[in-house]
Amino acid sequence: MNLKLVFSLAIIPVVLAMLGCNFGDSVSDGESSKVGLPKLDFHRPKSIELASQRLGELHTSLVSDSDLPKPRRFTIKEVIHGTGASAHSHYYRITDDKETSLDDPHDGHDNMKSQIRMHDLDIDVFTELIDIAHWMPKIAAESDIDKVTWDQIKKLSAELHQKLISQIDLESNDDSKRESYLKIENETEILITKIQFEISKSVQTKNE
Amino acid sequence: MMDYVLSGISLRLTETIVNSAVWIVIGCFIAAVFQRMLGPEKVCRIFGNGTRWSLLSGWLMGMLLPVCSLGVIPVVREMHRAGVSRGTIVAFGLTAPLFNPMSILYGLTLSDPLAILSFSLCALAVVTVLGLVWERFVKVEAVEAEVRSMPTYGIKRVLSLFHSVSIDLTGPSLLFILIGIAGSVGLAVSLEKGYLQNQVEHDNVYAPVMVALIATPIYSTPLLAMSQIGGMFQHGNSIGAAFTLLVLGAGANLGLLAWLGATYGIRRVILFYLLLALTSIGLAYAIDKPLYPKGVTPAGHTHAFDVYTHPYNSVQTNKMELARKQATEFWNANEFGGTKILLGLMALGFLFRIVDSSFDFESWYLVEPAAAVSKMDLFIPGWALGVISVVGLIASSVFACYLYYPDSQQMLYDMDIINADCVTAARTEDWEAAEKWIRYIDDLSRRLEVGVFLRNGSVDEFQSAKAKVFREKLDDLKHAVEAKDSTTSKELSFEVDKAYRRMKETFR
Repeated sequence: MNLKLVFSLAIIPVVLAMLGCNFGDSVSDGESSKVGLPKLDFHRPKSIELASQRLGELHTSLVSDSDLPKPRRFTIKEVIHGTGASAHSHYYRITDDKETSLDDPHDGHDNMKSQIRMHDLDIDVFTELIDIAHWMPKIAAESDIDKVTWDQIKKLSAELHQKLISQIDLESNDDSKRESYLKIENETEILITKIQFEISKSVQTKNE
Repeated sequence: MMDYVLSGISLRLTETIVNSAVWIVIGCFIAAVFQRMLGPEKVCRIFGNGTRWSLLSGWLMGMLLPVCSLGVIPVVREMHRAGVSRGTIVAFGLTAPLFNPMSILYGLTLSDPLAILSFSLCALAVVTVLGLVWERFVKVEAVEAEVRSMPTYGIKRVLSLFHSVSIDLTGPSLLFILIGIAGSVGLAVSLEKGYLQNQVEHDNVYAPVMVALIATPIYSTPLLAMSQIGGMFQHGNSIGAAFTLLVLGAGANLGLLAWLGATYGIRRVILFYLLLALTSIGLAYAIDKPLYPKGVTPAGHTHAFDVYTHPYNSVQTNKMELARKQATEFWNANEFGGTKILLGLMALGFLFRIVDSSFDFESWYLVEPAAAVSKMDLFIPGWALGVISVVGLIASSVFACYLYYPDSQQMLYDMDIINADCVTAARTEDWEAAEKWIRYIDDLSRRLEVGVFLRNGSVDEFQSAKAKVFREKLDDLKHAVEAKDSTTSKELSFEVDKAYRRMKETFR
């Protein structure tokens, strides 16, 4: 056995450990390591009933002759802790009726330098519709809906989601998107109606 | 500065030792069975030496035997002594730390089964390429198997087994194991807290490479690695990064590389490592998009690397006190005798070494007992005992799965109590207890799903969805508890309770 080699390799962990000595308070003003916002879910309905209602509203707004509703705007506060590879962000929605929560001081964050960035996040009707269709099973799982109904909702919402993402190109302009949606208007209406029926049936059973 | 280093070392060292102890003992036991019960010829036969199935045998045995990347070191040393081909040694040495029956089961419930199967096959591809190259193109002097007589039947054979285990734990294997541990702890201390939390997202094309650059010194048990891989799947992180974490993080470590270098030469092991890294990274990129889970919303971060980085921020106060407290808590929660057995065997090893200088144990093991043999005595050949031991070990690990993942009724009975404790702690602002119970019940909820999967062959999507909602509520509660936010904690505790009851209904 080559002892010289073994002991040479054994130095590696010592060197690695010594690197730790160089980490003092190296936090300095810098930029967040993340560019842009991750996928956020501030527009997620709080309950299955609200989700069902919102699906209907979005569909109605898209098939009507009126102008498309304006995108929903969310003001987001991004709090960035640390810098470099260990930087991470927390995101908070700013609402008029609630004081914005400051940062959650967990894991010694109160001792770290933080930066704040504000973002305006616009969610258009198409994105909202697609997202809600995608979230339906999860929102349904947070309710008292029984298994049979849940399986149905999952199947229907998956079908709806698939139809929407295959038909609508979110990169195109609004007119183009609306036109694409109108091509599948009947199918989506059927699916949304079925989803709403399942939910209302389940809610009614629960109330009885 | 010193307290930053020492606090990190003390906590991470405690965790590594407690996590690895039982696997190291098992690895030494397997090596002892190979040495004392099977002998070189039978070991070579088991691993298909000289046949086209040798690499596959190494991979398969690696999948079945429950050892970690440190516990595999004594086994590969013994395989080398027995004359097993170096390609097979590599195949076994890299596969064994990645998978065992328990970790595979755990992974199947955390991720799409196809993903776990793909990871296994990709790992097979990596070890096959490496094994082939190592076997065919790396020229080393042929190793002659050590010629050794098998111990005689009876108590001497059993004693010889313990002799080998304990001597191994105080010999060169210990040195390589310590290098592996030191590498993992050294890495943890050098990486600041939170490192790579945001760098392994699916849309970061460099994620697999970034992980590959730091993964090798990492120590991880197969179960821990699988839970982290599963977590990365569920958070929509880079699948390629998950694969490199598995192969280079859980699979290789500095101790194993040190042994390879000491045995085959430093230049060869550098080439070996480069080939391992390049093959792993290449496959990582190949599977990154195809295996990306559908319908998952990327979380924007991962906590998979938190246990491999420094546990504290450099500006945090009372680090040493916190480290002492958390190390004690970790010990109390996770030490089930493995470390004590390890230390006991090491003490026995030192004793044997002292006595060895005046008493020739090896010769004594060969001498047949003088006592008359009864007609009722059955003579079981050593190799049969060896095979029974190895098969028994595999069977035990499968049996252990049923213990570790009990049936849903048993699990729910325990979870009722933990849930009540968790919710009560959150409402009464007992923050420390709440954090502890949240962690515990989160783990139990995953084991609940695995227990159902183990017995039924599948987990209903509805059940999984309810379990997932429960864990998300727990996560929200955890943040509120960490922030010591009384109002939010109380609100969320009700939501957690509701989510738990809904989940419980589906598993009844």
